Amino acid sequence: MATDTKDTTFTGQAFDQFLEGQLADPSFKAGFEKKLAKVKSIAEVLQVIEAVREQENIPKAELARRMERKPEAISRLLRGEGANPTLETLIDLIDAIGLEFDIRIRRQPAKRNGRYSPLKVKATV
Amino acid sequence: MSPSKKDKRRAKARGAGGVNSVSSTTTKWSVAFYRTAKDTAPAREFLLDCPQPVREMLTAIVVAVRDAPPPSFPPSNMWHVMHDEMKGFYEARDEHDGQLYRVFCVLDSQAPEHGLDAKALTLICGAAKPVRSPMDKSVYDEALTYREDYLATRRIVLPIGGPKDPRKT
Repeated sequence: MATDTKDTTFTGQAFDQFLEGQLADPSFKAGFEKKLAKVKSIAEVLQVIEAVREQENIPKAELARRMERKPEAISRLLRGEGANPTLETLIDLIDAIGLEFDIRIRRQPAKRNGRYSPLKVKATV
Repeated sequence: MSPSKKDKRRAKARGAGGVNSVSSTTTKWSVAFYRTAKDTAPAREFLLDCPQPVREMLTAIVVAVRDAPPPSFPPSNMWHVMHDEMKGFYEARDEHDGQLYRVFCVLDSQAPEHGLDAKALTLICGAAKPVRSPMDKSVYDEALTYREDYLATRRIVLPIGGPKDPRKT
């Protein structure tokens, strides 16, 4: 089992055993590792956006004004509630915070390991 | 305008590791399954009953949250902060074939003071419902009852062949 899915505490051992049992199935392992990579990439994007908003001391109400949206909508957006945000909303959000995305689209490598994610996040803020 | 107290707390929790540091807090968190007095583990049983793609996703969310210790992991459609009567719960969520699968969790930072050896992301129980339909109230009632029992006992599933529960519950 990959090391970063394993815990070392007594508290986490039963879950580790559960996960080990699941990962023994190659099809589960492939799906799990792909999804874990995706979940972590998405979380990193959201975390960077929120961390910069906090560092820059931009209240949600101000963000709503800059994005020309209702404050409640921004609160829901930052809490991850409701439907998935569209790319347009994400662009409006990072623009309002003073960030930019650098999106490069290229072909995937021919050989991919289990941790491959089509979304790569490299934050330089 | 100034940031709210909550924003300041979260920023402080992230520490000085820079905004692009996902695991900025160092305190160890572990994932545990809540165990009932009847020796059942509702969350584990729920996961085992889920279709495999859902089980893959819900497990991946839980591992990702554990690895980016709370409160670092941001709320999203997949990791949701619950409100109202379910305040204090978090949920891992996944949609599949018109169903919304949800695992109700507790972030138990007090666990080390109650006999566990790490802060615990404890999986309490789970449920599924058709997308855009209300969850049956009995599901929430059951989750609340389980949480109350968990917080009173810190009873978790023990590892097979591992150390005995030091509290001998």
